[in-house]
Amino acid sequence: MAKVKLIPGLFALLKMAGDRKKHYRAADEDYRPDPVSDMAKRMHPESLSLKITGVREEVPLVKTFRLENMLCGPLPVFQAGQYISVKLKIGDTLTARAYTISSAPYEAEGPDGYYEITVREKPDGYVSKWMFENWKEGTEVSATGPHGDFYVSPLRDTRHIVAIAGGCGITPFAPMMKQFLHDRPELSLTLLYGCRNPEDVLFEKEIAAVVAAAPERFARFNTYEDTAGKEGLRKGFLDAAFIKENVPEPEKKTYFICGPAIMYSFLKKEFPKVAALERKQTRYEVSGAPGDVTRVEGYPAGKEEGTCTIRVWCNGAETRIPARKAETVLTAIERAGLILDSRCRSGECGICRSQLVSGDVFILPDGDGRREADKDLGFIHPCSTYPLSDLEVIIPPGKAAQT
Amino acid sequence: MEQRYDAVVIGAGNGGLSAAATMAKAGKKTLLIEQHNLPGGFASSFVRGRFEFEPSLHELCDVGTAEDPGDVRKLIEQTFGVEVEWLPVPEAYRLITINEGKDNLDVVMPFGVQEFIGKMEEYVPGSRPSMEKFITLCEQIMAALAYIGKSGGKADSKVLMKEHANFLKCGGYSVSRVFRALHMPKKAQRILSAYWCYVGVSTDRLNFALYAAMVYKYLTRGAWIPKMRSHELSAAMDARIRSLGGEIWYNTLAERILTKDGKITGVRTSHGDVATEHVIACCSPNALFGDMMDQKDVPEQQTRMINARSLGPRGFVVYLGLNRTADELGLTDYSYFIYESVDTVKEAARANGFNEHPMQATVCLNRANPGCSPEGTCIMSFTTLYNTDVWGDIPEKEYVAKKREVAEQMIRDFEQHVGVRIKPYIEEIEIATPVTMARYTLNPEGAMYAYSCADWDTMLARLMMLKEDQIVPGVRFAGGYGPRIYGYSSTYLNGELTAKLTLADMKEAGK
Repeated sequence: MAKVKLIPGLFALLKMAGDRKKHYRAADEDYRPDPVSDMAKRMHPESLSLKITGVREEVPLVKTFRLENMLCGPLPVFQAGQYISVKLKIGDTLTARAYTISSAPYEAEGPDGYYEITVREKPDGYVSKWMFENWKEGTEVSATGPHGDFYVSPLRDTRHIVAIAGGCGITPFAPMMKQFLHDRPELSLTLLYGCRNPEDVLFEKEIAAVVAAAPERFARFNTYEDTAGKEGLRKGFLDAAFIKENVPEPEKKTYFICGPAIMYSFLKKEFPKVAALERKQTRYEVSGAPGDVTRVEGYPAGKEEGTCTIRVWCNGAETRIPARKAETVLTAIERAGLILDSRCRSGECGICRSQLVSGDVFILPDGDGRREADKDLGFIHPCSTYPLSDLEVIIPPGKAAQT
Repeated sequence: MEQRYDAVVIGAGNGGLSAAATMAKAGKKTLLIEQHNLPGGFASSFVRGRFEFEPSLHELCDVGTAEDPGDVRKLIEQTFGVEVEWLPVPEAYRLITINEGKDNLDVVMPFGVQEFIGKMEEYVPGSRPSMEKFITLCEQIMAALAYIGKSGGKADSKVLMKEHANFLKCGGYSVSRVFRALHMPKKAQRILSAYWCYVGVSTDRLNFALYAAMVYKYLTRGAWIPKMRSHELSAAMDARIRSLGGEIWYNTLAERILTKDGKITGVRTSHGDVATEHVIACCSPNALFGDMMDQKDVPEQQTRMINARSLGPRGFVVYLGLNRTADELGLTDYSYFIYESVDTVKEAARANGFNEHPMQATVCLNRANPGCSPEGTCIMSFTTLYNTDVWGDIPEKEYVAKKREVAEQMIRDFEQHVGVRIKPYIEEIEIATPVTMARYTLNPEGAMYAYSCADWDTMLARLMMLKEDQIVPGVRFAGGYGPRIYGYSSTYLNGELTAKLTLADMKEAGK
């Protein structure tokens, strides 16, 4: 410490205090701009105020809705494969549904940009039925997003992507193909598409146009449950043989898969017949709640019958609501007219994270995206959780901007 | 009739959790409000595929063992009664420099004072005497800081002169200045400067007392992490606050600080108004005074105090879930610092913008936490810092490509200089930029280190001038903007300190 003496040291210490005052005096009175936060707000607004500017029927029972920004300024940018969560008020029920943006990112650019979502009316689907009846040109729609991780990442994925679609599961792949053609010359894509019949093929024109524009980068192969007697069409499952027929060097590809849960369990058995793939090479989009939870592997037999009661606590207020065992905890809460924000509705994103105080539940094995500590502390994601007994849960209040 | 609380805590980051727990434990009716649906702020976790990632923590300082706990473990376990499974980090750091030619470093430094000095002597023969002097000085500084901390901004200069003379000699100087005074060999100085990026201030502007205290705590107590990511700690704090009778409202935004005749009367939240005379803010003064208060209630001096500060670094992190084990990949260490050089002035300047080889602080989580990912896999995170708002200038359309470009540079540099292959094994990747951090934490410019503690605004100055800095009565800052500055350990301690000062305010008001 030869060079450092007490008196100069003290002086240096006191100087800090003096400097402080000097800096305060010299400082501005006006706040500084913050371009980073501004950008975060533009890219991830609390909510989206959209208006339907077009409705078209793709095939019977499938409609595409075009949505434009009601506020001035362009829509947030997104990556092909991402979704928006649409907020719906049906009767007294506030609910939400996740829909993949079926238009391409470049189509969202500029003041006239838009997102499109493509919806199939399910015979027993109360939300899709309601949308088909009520959503018209001019209808205002509140949503959040874009969200989701089902997109191509060049640091992780191969440059040649194999997209496997079942039915409406084509929605993420049409925008991927269009966007890749538009400004991603390094990427190519082979689409394998399983449909019920030739009348059920979605985005036929758009996809044919992409393939025609760059046949060396894009290919598309369909297979049908029922070819409706048409010549030259492939009939049969989307199986290992179909993949091997159409994908050169199948061991060197990343597979993006979107379709019904039943297709996923089938493909998981087929892939080993195609090649020895690493887990990272097969990427499944989340698929929402299954039609019948009692048929999901692991569901405890004999528990499925009847109803139960859920005591729901929110910021200290208690509500007792009825619940059906075949439905998720989230659905029961929404049906009772309570607000619980949700987003992916597949157990993945954790937006509906709530605390289970007591009771037995069944959690979808493929929909358990909970954090490790949350499992220990008894938290659940109600969108992928089914009651097996009376429950007591603590839910967060809804985000005001979104509900 | 609106609800009345003794104190309202805004933000459930580390500081907010710690402050709320302290208030609730003191029997005060406490409301903690948080804009997200879960606690923690930066101290959280997120799941991608079969991996659960740690968003920001590299390692906690001042935890120590159960038998010999440091301040942070004492606070969490003994004061709050919160149980967490702590795992020790195996070594202090591996430091690699890549642009110093024949002087390039590649050293692995251990924890433990004697181990550290011994290893330094191996790398830098003849460094032992100056290292020993450094450690003695560290001990003296620790004692002085303990005294100043206890004094609550009223340190007696006579006591300081008498009992903490060496602290007074060096406390006002920078790290570089004191290292030189210790006659420390240049190479040893460089190796010992490695932690600078944890503060984000170059060693010519970094207060020596602060740095010495940090290094000393790491060396004597090691570094620790919670087993189930930071979320384990945040979620346990949440549960404890509620069991102590505190209320927590999630998905709730603080919109306005309510005042009457210049006095704080409550908080307008997105879920209604609540009455209180005491606000503990675990958010930035920029947000609280700039956005949540009527400007006529904000003294000009307060605005100047905000504007006199510069923000600390904005973080950029690449998270990788890899489908090979750390052993298979050849990742032998937990914590890697890879710099172009240990000329921290140059490094800090490089962080003003984009550059080809971003400095990085990289972690292989499995080296401290083997069970953090499924069998046959491991987790890495690569962090770099920006000292400006450069990410705000990127056109949105080019944003995703830019973040991938930076991520790829960092992965490539790591592969080249550690001599391993990473890229083919990426199963999951996520990238967080300052924009991401602004989005999730609402910190100005996405800054993760609050206000820079360079030069005149060091921890020492903040602690010694607690009184002078308190301008708007009824508002105190926990979290990284608090007196003990930023960083995980500091924010827990800030929360407690701020709550205690608030309790003193209440007592004063009750007189």
